[in-house]
Amino acid sequence: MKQLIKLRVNGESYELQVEPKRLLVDVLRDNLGLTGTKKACEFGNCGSCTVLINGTPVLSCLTLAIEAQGKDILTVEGLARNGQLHPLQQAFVEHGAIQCGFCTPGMLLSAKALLDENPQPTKAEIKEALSGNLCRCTGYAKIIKAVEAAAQKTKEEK
Amino acid sequence: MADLDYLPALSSFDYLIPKTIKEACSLLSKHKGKAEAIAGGTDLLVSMLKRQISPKYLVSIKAIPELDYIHYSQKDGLKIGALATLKSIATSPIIKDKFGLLATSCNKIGTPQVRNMGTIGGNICKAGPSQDSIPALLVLEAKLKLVSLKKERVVPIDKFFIAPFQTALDKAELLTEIQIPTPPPRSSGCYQWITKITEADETLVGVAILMTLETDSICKDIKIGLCSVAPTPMRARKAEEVLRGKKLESKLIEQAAQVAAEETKPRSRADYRRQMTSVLVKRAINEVWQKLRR
Amino acid sequence: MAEHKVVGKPVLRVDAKSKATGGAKYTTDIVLPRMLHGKILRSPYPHARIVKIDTSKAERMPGVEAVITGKDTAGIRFGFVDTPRYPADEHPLAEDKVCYIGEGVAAVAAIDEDTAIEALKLIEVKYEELPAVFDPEEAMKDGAPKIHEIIIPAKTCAWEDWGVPRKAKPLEIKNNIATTLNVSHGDIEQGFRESDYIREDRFFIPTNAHVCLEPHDILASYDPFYQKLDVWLGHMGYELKRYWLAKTLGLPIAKVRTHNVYVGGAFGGKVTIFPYEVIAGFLSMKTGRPVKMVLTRHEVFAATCSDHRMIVEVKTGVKRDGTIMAQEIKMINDCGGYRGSSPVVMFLSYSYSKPIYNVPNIKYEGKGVYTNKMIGHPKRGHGLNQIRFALDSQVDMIARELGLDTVEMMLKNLYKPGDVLPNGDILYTYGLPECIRKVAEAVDWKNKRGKHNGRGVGIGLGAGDSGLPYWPFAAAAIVRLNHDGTATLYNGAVEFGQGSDTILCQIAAEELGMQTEDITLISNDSELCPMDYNNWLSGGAKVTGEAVKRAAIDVRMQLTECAAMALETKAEELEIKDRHIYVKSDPEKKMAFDEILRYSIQKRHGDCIIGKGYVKAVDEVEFYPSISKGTGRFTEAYAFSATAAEVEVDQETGRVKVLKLAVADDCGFDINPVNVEGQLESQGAMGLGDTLFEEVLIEEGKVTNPTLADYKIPGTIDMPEIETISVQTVDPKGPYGAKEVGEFARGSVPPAIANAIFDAIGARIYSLPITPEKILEALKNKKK
Repeated sequence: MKQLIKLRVNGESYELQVEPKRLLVDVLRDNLGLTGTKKACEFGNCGSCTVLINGTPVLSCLTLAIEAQGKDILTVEGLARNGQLHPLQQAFVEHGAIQCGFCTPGMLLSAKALLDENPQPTKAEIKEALSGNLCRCTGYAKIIKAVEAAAQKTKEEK
Repeated sequence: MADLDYLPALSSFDYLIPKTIKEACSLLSKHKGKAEAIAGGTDLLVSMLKRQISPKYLVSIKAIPELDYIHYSQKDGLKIGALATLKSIATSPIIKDKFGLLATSCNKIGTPQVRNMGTIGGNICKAGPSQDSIPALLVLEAKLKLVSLKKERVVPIDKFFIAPFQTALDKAELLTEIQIPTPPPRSSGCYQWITKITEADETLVGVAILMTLETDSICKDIKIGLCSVAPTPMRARKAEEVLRGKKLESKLIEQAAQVAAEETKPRSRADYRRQMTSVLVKRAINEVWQKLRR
Repeated sequence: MAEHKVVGKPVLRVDAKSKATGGAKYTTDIVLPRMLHGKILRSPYPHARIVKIDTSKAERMPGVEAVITGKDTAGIRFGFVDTPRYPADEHPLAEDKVCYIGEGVAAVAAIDEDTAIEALKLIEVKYEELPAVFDPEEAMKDGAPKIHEIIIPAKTCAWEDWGVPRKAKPLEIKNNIATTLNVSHGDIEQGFRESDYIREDRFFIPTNAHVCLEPHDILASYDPFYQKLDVWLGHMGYELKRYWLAKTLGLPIAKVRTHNVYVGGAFGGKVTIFPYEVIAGFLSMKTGRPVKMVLTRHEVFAATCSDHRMIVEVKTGVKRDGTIMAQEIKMINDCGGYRGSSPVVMFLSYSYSKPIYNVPNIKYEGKGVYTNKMIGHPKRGHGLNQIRFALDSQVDMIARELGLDTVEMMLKNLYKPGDVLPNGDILYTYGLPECIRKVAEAVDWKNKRGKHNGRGVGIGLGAGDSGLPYWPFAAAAIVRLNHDGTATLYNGAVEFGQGSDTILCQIAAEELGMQTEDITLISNDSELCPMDYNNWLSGGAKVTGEAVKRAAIDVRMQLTECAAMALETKAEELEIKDRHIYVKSDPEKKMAFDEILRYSIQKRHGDCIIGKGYVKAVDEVEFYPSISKGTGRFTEAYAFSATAAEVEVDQETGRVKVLKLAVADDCGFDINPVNVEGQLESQGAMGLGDTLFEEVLIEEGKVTNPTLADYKIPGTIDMPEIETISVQTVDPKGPYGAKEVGEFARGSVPPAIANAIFDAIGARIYSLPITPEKILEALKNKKK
């Protein structure tokens, strides 16, 4: 039976009627039209569905929409502000870190959570933070470079 | 009926949100047999998507505030609430300092996202053969507090696992706390593993060691915990006997490692798992010995 | 090298911002009003007769709009290979029997996915299990279960539709042999007689999966009033998909429109027409509503396609100094329940390897064999990978036996620029020797080789074509000038991550004196774009790029002509820069492009400056080379690659740690250097997975690891340092000298790692993936 739930996504509040079994990834994509979050494996193995809940990267394909109430959800669509790319998005673009793009939203969010917690991570820490996000196209080299560059740029700006 | 294993899907359920432990136990008791407690959900939802279980009620315990904590005192040891996330345990300064092998093990589980969502209680109650947190808890001789409507009981962890995915937890019971005594002085431990295929992958063989030295070269006590090499996580007690009270030296350590390998009962990739048990037990003992000699 | 302004520069990808902000749309993201969801009921048996299907309960279920079985789609045939000799053998849904676990027997369109799944549960299928065979060598024996006995062609085969004046004949299948390859040059017996040393080895390459992050998917929307089908799908070239959708669904091809979406990875796994695609179109036509089908990861792993399983036996004869005199190769390609791309993969195993070692006496014998398993299709390299693992492992072994250095032996046996291959292809450029030398240097070959101390280095080679003859044989592009003096480029190429959109904009911008941002790209839409060559034919840079270049040049020439008229001077006096045309000797005399456009419209009878460009992939070839005999021109340019690996082996655990990969590629010219790096890093990662991690495990016909938990691709922590090296030979046949890039370095990685492992611990592994258990076993056997 459907229930009324309230979700706060990218700073906006939504009221929705959903069944308890609906997954957050499906509600974001199908009910809210936020198709930036991707589905690729059903069982939480690839990280493509990664969103931030209260700043923490989680798998939206293994989160019930009903469980995400009362929390701040950030999807890839919420990264850019006022038409300006987030430094990580800018870095991904500048360093050739995007090929087919399917893993990109999840990567960006995992990377954002890392830099928010640890603004100057080592290469090993970046690899660890992104170890739950699979990419088949890039071989990860430029993704890691992009995260390093974004961290460096933020440091220089401070 | 057709076998639709290639089309994972959730069947419908009611989602209940108790606010206290008592309320949770009451709901689990009321809907006994048709309800599952859900914490992080990473293991539970996967089982449900695969249609291995189809509970009619999910009792969400995430909102219960008094279940997420990490407390330590020299006297009482470490007390971890069942809802403490794997990440919080992996990064807790006190656990890294005094119970390092537990932090290492929890940091191994899954991926960063899974560690953010997954709880220690969930990891223990899933009771799969390859749960990384268990070997450390075995060698640390953890006790589990189980609460139901009528009573509370404390069960030593080595009595908790009955069979793969089967524990001593009653359907109307809730695991609320993990209690770990402070190890004796001159103790140290470690957790070593190899994975099935890639680096960020399920554990193929996991070895936890907790060793207490009498002197720099005499082993007062040693505990060896293994996962993924038997139907349930286990202690390699015969191997422990080889070293307990004895003078440490490489031949004896190798012998203990070999005995540990012989105690295992792996199903798939059995030869390799046995071999790796021997290699990892040897390496882990040496790592701990090295740490203690500094 | 010429001075370029836009090509050859690390221009930022034109699709990057869209993908970084979540705005990029893939097929899974497209939603249409009244859209239905389709699901397929799949056979649980590897080989079974369908006795009866009862769909009545499913049809009555509320929310179910259509249920179909093989009876509804009877007679429809398709396949990746559909020639007069090899008529198509696949169908959308099984008709009288199923040939692999996962083959579709029924399909449902319903209002949502849950309803569709519930409806599948209500379909009752009665199967009569038949004996199945899983091993290709067993399948070829007399008395083995017959998987196919006769393939009856449809009214016409694809090549007949495409102009070949030959009708397909029924194809009798004996001993489950689906296809054969027989190529020979020289005198093989003589070659062996002249050899001082002969080696025979047998290698086994299992199947592995593409693991594109975007699962296979399609949205098909049929308009019954205009009898038109609109389709959004993951693919690598819409012409082939359209052709098959039109043919199988009985629509004129111009009434099938494939729309532009991004594709989340392809790697060859989205080339052919799949049963689920035809089914989606069929369901849409039946219901008059859009039907979306998104396959689950399990379905992708087990019921779409995977790379080819091969047993490769190599017998090589060499002179004492390492010169290869003769090479006899026997391939058994275990193609699965249907032919898939078997004839092509065996042909390419020969064709891609031919330009590497100049072997005077050669014999390739290949057999594609039906077994009751899933079908083999192209995966990045399509035949190169399996054969390179075998050939370069063996060269390494031969070199050691003769006391030679592997790198020196490889260099000794190569071709030279200008050489002509037996089929007539000319090697205008040949960067392979430089690729080899550079990767060897990158891993410090001289100092690291031969230590046998748990660390070692090894090398492997690769090569491939830059565009083959295949329908529609040519690429085309249109460029028009916009009112503001920028340009719009129309070209059908599809962006599946390889950077196609960007390099085509770069090429147009280069010729028009513009920046990439000034090019509006209309791509990957069969109605808006002119004929597309199909990216999967490896001609994205060389063939499609050339067509775009010519279209842009056409516009530039028109602009120049028109400006010459307006400025009252000669075209030779003019030059283009920054969207202006200047008189060289008097730069004050200039016109902006938008001015020229206005002038052209007013003074040249409305000529609004539209340019076209087209190029045929291989001019000489009318249809195709002989894929069973290996004769006939094949491509205008070959790309080359080499990989060197440094590894460390833990001899107690058998775990291999790759410390470094150096991947070198001769792609002629880097249209976008960052793109080329990305392709080489990508192939390093994919090759690493091929070598150490990846195998689709099949037991009694069932895929036992069909999830990303059980089938592992490299993650961040697995990746070694990858050094990429671009060797630019500037081929005369390609735009700016560009040849292919992105596909043929993958195959050079497994032999590099395998040879490095041998260098480290003296253990040779003859099958992929090289698991810790295989290493420990080999070490144990070494001791004996």
